[in-house]
Amino acid sequence: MFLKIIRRSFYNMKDSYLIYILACSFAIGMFSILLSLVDNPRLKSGISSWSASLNNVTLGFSVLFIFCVFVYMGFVGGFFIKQQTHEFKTFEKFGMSRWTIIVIGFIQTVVVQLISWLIGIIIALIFQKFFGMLLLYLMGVKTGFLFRFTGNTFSMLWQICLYSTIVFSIMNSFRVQKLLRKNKDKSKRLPKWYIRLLGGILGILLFFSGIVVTVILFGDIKNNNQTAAIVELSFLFVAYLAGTYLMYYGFLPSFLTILQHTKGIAYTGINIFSFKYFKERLMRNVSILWFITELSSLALILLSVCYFGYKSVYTNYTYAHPFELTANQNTVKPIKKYLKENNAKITRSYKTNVKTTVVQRGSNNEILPGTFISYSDYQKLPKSNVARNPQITKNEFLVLDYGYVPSFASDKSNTAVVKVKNARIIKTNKIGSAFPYGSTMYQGLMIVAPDKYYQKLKPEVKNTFYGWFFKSGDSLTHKQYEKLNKQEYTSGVQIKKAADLADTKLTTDTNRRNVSGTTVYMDSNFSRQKNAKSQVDQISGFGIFIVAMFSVSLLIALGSVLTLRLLLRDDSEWKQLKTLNKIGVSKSEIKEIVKKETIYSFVIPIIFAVMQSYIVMALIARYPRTTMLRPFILINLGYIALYGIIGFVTYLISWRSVNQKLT
Amino acid sequence: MQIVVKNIAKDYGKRFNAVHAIKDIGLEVKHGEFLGIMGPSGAGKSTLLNIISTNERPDHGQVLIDGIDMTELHDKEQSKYRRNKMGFIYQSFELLDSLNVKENIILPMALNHASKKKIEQSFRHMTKLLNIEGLEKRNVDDLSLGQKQIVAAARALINSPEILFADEPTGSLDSKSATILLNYMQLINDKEKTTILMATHDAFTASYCSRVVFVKDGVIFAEVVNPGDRNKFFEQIINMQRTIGGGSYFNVSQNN
Ligand SMILES: Nc1ncnc2c1ncn2[C@@H]1O[C@H](COP(=O)(O)OP(=O)(O)OP(=O)(O)O)[C@@H](O)[C@H]1O
Ligand SMILES: [Mg+2]
Repeated sequence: MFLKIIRRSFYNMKDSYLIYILACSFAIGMFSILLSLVDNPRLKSGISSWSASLNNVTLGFSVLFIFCVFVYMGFVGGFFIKQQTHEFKTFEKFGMSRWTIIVIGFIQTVVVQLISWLIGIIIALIFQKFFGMLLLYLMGVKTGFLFRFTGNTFSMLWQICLYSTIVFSIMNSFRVQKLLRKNKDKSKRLPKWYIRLLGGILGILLFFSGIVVTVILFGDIKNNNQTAAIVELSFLFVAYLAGTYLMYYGFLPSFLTILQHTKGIAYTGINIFSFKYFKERLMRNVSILWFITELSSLALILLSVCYFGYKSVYTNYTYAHPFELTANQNTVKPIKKYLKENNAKITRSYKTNVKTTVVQRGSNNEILPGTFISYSDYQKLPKSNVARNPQITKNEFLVLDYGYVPSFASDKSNTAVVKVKNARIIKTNKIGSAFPYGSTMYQGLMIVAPDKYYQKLKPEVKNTFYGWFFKSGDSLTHKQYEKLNKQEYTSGVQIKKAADLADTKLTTDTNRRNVSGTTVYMDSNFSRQKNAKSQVDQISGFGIFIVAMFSVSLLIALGSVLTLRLLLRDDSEWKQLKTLNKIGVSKSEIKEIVKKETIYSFVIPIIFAVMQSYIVMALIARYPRTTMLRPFILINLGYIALYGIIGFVTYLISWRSVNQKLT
Repeated sequence: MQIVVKNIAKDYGKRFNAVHAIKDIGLEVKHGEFLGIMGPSGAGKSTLLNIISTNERPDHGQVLIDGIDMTELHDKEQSKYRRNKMGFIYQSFELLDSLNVKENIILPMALNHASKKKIEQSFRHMTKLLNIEGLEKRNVDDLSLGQKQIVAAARALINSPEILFADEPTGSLDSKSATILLNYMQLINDKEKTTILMATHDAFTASYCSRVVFVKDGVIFAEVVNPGDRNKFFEQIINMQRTIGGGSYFNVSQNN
């Protein structure tokens, strides 16, 4: 009897259970994979930073991940119990004891949870290798991945499975109990329509003022007006959260009510039924639609911000590390010796003479070292190293300044004004930030000057930069590298300021003497830029892996919540669709109702989510719009496409289940 | 509308515990006939009506309406036929509880894209006729069983269907409402030559028909034709019921 009831409930809601179990086991699979990667020996040996930090980061993310999964399970697991309200109440009327019914709810949950965990762990076993390889590929590490599931991981998974199953089953038992205790007053005490209408109007006002504020935020972030930006962001937070909810709560139902009372529209065909039907379903799902809208926009915002963050870090690194290996006059001798010893295959090598003197920059007259390159030497450098700088002609100056990354410049007409000791003042609007030998090789400004100017310039300090590209790495041994490392910050310049720029002195410094009244700028005398770059590649690859995993899981979670809401119709809703068919509404018209409902439930959240996610564009308003708009649109489109696929699948499943009931 | 049912059969359920709801039924209903279908519970009356009204497909046999084989039509054409030519009063009413009483009643007209004016007109006429004028704004969930049945009847009749299927249409009605409804059915049967098929347990209700067939265990067992005198017909029906078993032996509305 007992088992029969449970079996029947599984059978009746098999589609919904299947979706829930698949979504859960996908999440559990991802979690298990993350957890098992933490102590994977190949990752430890292949990636130097894995044991140091990345494994703990992975562990942290997996904890965060399983927390989100638990929230999902706790929330969605209740759908099934709620769905059976009618049955449970009938059992009670038949004289089944309350305890028995609670136990039925408990067992159902236990079974579903255990199946999800089982499938999830199987997924993890099957796909661990794939995800491990993907991770290594994204991190740019060229070692094979080794499948490994330690007993430690297994026992951890088993314990989490056990405890979470018990907790969720008890939670659902409480749900059953609460449901049985509820008095039969099922008359939906809907608030009066004008309360809804008022709420709806307020919601629309809030939401659209949110959009207006986003536009204002653009300007404030562009002008670096931080206090205003923070106020606006907090307003946006409230306006979007509350506005969207009120809109769903008030405006959409009121809108449907109006349609339903407009006889011209309502009295034609199936509309007379569908508006009311949509309204009832909508009102029941308001909080879910809201939840999905907000989470979707959060996902869009996070994805975009991650992408832009990654991109700016990456750009900075390519600015800082254009060569594979660089040196200056202090380190060139040993390096050349090592390269020869190791038979390193040099493909290209470069050498540039520079002159350094004191300069004064900008409105705050900051005194800095200024390193000059002649125009013709600049032209000889590899094009890829300087491609991001503005083009100059032979009579123009180019100022390279770290603070002036071109993508941060709000308007390009900015002019750099640089006073140079004992030379003509420089005014130019050619400002770049791609330092040809990488930004770590020298401090202060770098200025590309016309040849004549350069020749005339009397330097305080001279230097020469060297840069190499290799066929297969610089082949420095660990020992050589250690030796070089000792020399890394051993020389530089110091500036002794005076009232007048002409009296300010800049001298070579090899001891880091910090004599009072002087400022010391130490250079890194060489740089294995290739190595640094590959570390950035590793970290960003890891980041992409985690972000992709989270966002795909989030998408699946959101999609499945919506799908389940659409699938779970209560008895009266089923009966109504059936009745329509009986009195002559064709199946294709009912299909149309199902289709419309799916479209509404999927399209409404995504539209508002995309509108909200436009905040991202304001947040990064200091980048030029044109470069950012395209990736932003692509991210949105990608999200919408995946979301749309889920919507389409939902429609198919939903129609399938309706069709089954009709025949 | 002339209806010819040829050798239909219908089973429910799987092979071993299958229910032979209809074993073999052949039947002919003339245009404008008022046919009663009687029989004990579970005899297959509702199933027969459902098959004729294309709500269910028979396992075997044909249903010809005006020479068209309904079982050969696609779902879509069947729905169209149901919507345009047929009216239904179901045993379980089948009202839509999302809609209020008025919307339920006008649903068939709205589905046919009738004009607003015509809808309102027919609605007024129908509610007045069936004495349910006060109900229009009510929620169907809150109605009494009898009220539901009358509303279901109003919905079936508002479109002036060519064939009316009535499954136990008076089961929950008080005798006055039942009489009003039955008289109206007889009226449209006379005036508009509406073909009516009505399943019932109630001999008094059946006595309005021009012919009554008796179904038992999925086959037609007997048939009684109205001799023109309702009281006599009523007697004949009662007698037939006694021989078959099932149905009401002590009819409350015998005084009619
Ligand atoms: N959907 C169904 N699935 C399985 N069996 C069914 C189904 N519908 C009807 N039956 C069975 O078919 C037989 C005939 O049912 P039907 O509803 O036609 O009887 P009926 O003559 O209308 O009875 P009543 O007088 O109680 O309305 C019954 O034994 C019933 O249990
Ligand atoms: Mg019946």
